[in-house]
Amino acid sequence: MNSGLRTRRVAITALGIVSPLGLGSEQNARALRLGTSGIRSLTRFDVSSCRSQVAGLADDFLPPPSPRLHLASAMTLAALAELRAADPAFAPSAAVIGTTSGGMSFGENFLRLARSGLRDRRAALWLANYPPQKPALDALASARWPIPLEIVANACASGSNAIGLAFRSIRSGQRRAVLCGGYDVVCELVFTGFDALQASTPDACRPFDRNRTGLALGEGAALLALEDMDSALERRAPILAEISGYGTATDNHHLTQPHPSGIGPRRAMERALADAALQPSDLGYINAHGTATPLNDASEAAAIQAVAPATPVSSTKGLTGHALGAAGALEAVFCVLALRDHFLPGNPMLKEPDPDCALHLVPGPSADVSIRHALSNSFGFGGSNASVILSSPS
Amino acid sequence: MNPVQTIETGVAGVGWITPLGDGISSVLTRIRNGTQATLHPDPPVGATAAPASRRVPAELVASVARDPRLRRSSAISLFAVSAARNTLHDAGNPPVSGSDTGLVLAVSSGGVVYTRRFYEGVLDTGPGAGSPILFPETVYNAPASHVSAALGLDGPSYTLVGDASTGIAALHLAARMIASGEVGRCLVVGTEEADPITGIAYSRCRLRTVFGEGAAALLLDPAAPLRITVSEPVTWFRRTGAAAALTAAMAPLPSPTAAFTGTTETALGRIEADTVLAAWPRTHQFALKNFLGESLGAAAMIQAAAAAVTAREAGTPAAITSIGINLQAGAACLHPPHPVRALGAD
Repeated sequence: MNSGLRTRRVAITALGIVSPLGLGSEQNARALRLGTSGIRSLTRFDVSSCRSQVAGLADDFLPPPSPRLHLASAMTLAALAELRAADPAFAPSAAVIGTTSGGMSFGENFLRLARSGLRDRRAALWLANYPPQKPALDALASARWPIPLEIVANACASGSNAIGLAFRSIRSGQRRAVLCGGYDVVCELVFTGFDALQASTPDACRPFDRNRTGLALGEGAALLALEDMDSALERRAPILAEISGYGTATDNHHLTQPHPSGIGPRRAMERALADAALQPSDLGYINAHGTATPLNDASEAAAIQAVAPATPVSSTKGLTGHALGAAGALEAVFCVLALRDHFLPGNPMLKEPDPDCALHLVPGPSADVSIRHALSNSFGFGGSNASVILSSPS
Repeated sequence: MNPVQTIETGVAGVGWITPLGDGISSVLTRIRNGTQATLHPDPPVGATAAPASRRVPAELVASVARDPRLRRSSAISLFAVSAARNTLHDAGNPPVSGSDTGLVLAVSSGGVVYTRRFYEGVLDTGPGAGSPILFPETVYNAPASHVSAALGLDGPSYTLVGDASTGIAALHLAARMIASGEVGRCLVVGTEEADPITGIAYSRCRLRTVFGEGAAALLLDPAAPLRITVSEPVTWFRRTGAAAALTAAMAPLPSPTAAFTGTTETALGRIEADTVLAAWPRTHQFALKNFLGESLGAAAMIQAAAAAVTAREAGTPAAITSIGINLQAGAACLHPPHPVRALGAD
């Protein structure tokens, strides 16, 4: 590791979030503490013949978006509004956002229309708002920030990768302040895709449970304002937390399945710790990727056992579902809330811990504990593995 | 508008695969002779006719398609692996396995062929009957995953998704990763596959665009003699800002002898051509898309590959420009390491 990478501290000065747990940080923090699930019956499209009929949905927390706006844009704009209200002077010089499908449901509409041969005046609107980068561009346009934009599409690691890239660019001195985060919306194509893989649960999402049966999809948007610490302090910006480290690893085992040994997640976590110059014993909490699929939880547990076996672990996907490209961003925000409010999100959906996933799982809905450092894992198709370490401001 | 920042690094290898072939010099010669890639009729999507597109000949990816990891993959991944291997061959096959070589891949529509086929299967047979073989290849980072597996890469890997300018964003990110010391070198790939639904979508938006497909790659290595200077992409919000955005991106670059532009027969394409002419009036412009088709996420990298070989062979700067349809403009210049004389500075 090049020591030149570690030259600047990176502060989180504000954040915004829309998730199945609510609109805004306070609703999300409250739901996490209480273990309130945002996963419910899915009626957005026909799932009657699917293995799973539930998802973590966030649309109820927003006013119905205008027909011109995709739900992904509406959620991102809402998250941005919270962020800017908390730090009105935040002025990013770039944006890095993660997603896996953006406005895909508009693409579905267009394909159905094309097959039918009919015309629909909304077609141009769908096409304009379908691209995955459109919600981010809507956010930048609303803030009048004509800044460079990178959309990271590393499957389920996208959100964490976006945060990591933003972090690296500030710490190396290449950029001063960066808007980062992720968004994704539950859509029929992706929902039926996971169903086709038999990866989704026919009952409840129970990460690390002996009887877990798969994941529930989710949706949401979360944004974080990252800034060089000296710059943030100079302008007296609020300092919520800092990003201390970031690690990635590519697992070439299989396009959709992790290597059973957990080598990819293990390397990502080890690299994040090395990047932060921390020991595993410094970690107070791990927000696991914890999708509740048999393969992910087993491989991730193997990795955590190898790296930080004594660290308390929970997966918040039991409450939110798996928000894919937004997941890493949502869970980074959850870690910031945990650091700020001195609690650890629990595993409220856990009934019987899997003995093969021998982890120090946080019991119940939450636990009142003050911690200094939290690590958030995100692992995705294509062998993408990312770990981000968030720390309370010193 | 604030001055646009640039970043410089070296280019150790370049490769591509296009509808006119996979030898860069040979394809450029054919283009200079006026050869356009053949237009292949595309099948309709349901009841809607699709415009023709320019396709990569199947025989160019036949050997890659026999790889066990790739035998079920869509063309976009085959193109990416082919271009990556061609690039490493051009660079003298340096060892790249391990974590010191990064990968940045640019796409736009991504695995659109399998995405359409998967969703059509859902529409035809029901939500519970989607194909588990097609769905995994629909993720945007499937090509990057296959490139990593084919080359044994273990370093940082990022897939950027966007419009035709995304290849320039990918080059900029890769150069930053090298400059920060995160990686020693970085493979940058742009790849795209054609599908009738893309042509139908553009025609519905009244965009006269002939689509193409293919992939191109550059191996960035700070020690390489051929240099690339990349401007940070510039975002614009109204069409009236497109020209200013591209002008800003071009401003810090050395005046090139040749410019491989993203120009097409669209309003944005004409803006791009006029902007390049205004900024670099003595530069020869080459609109590769007129011969190879619009290849979206692969486009800027195809332009970069052409510019790299041109600069390498001629010893003079060659640039690339792009105004993407989704509101970003970018530019980069490939040039020899010695100081460049401005055109006409005698």
